[in-house]
Amino acid sequence: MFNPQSRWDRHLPNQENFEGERIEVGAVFKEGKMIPRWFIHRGRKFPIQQITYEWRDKKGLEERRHFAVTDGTNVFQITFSHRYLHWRVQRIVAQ
Amino acid sequence: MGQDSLLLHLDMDAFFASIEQQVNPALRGKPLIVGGRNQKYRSVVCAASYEAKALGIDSAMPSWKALRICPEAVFVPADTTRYLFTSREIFEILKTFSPQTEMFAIDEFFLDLTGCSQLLGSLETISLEIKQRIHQRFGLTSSIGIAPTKVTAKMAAKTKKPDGLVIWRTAAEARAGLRNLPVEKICGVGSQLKRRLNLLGVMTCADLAEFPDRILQQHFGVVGRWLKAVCRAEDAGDIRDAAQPSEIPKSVGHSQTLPEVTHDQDYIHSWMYLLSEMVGERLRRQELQARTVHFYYSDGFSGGWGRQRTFIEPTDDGQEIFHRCLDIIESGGIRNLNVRVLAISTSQLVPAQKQFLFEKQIKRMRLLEYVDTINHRFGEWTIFPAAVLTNA
Repeated sequence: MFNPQSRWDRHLPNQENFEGERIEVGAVFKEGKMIPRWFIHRGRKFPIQQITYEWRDKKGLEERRHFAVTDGTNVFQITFSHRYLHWRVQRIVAQ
Repeated sequence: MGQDSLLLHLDMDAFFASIEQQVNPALRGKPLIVGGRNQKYRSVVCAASYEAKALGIDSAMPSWKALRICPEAVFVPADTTRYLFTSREIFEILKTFSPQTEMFAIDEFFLDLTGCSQLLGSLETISLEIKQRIHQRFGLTSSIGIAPTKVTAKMAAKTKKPDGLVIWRTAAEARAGLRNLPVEKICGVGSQLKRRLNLLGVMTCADLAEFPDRILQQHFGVVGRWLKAVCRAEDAGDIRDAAQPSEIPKSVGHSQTLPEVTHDQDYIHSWMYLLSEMVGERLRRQELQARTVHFYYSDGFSGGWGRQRTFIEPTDDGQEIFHRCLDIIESGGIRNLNVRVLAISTSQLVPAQKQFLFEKQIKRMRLLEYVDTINHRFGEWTIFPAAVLTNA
């Protein structure tokens, strides 16, 4: 489906339906910051060794907080939706 | 702007590429190209890391050429949400230093530091504090130029990259700093202008600063005067103002390179409609309407085809621009488009007239106002015409 919102994202590589899957995340809240520490995806627990980048955007009314995180091997982009209070793994940035 | 003015120009170093290197630590220190998604042989370099730039790769170079220079370069698709967020956050940091702050581009900012030294410390202290806060927050480096005018501040920042700091406190210092710079380093001087200046024996900023006004005026008009003022570190204003005192732009347009050549007419029409809407939105934002519509397409192999038509009634409505493009195509006798590149632009711009006789026109104008308000509030393309959707 043609979607104008995906103007910049129209050639995302196919990641075998990996994109946007719900995940469980353990996070701590410290000094006004949300810090994800681990996440469980498809039954596997990934410890977050480092948050390499953090940014926010808005999709309609949905405010989203994105984190690029690494478990030491892979870099993942995980996203927290302030509106729906859930986490998703958006994509593997690199592996 | 008086002689005492001091402008700071902040230029982020290889902005997009540096962000991607922060996102993925494995890419740090490697030649990196940011470009179109998953189409590394059929797009252009959007940004290159300093490691790639050192090999001769630079922005706007075709990707296939860049990858021929450096086959092992890592190709990363652009992620504009990261870049926009980072840019806005940097702007917020800068606003804590001076109330007179301007976002010039996604990775370039101006601060008016006139009179700030007594409050915030020396120019060096302010600059290093800015650089440090950005680095602490995002791990990114930036280059700063400070000079009495905007253009000289911008050029000062460019003279020492990456992670540079250049301060020219007076016009005399700025002139000395610019002296040996080749003319192509002046903002706005491209290869054509450089060639024409070189033909006149003007190689450096010093040559230009001493060049007779009359000859510059004769060859380059107001742009010549502007270039000379820049090289003399005089307040030249914005080149766009110099070239067009009326402040009405000559044209407003958008183009799109599709991932691959297509002859799917629905898909092509969707893109045409979207580009038309984008042009319409920009016209409305600038309170302009256009009489002339120009349509261009190319399949990326043979030469492209483009025509323009001028209509009596000016418009700022994307739907109308789209239909005018269809008229242009039909009048060109083209049945089936085979497209890789699409471009739609408008010219003969006039201030928008919002006085309509008919209820239908008033309703349409109101609808566009609501659409613009919603998209401005909730983000680009939150609401858009359903006609843009296809199953292509």
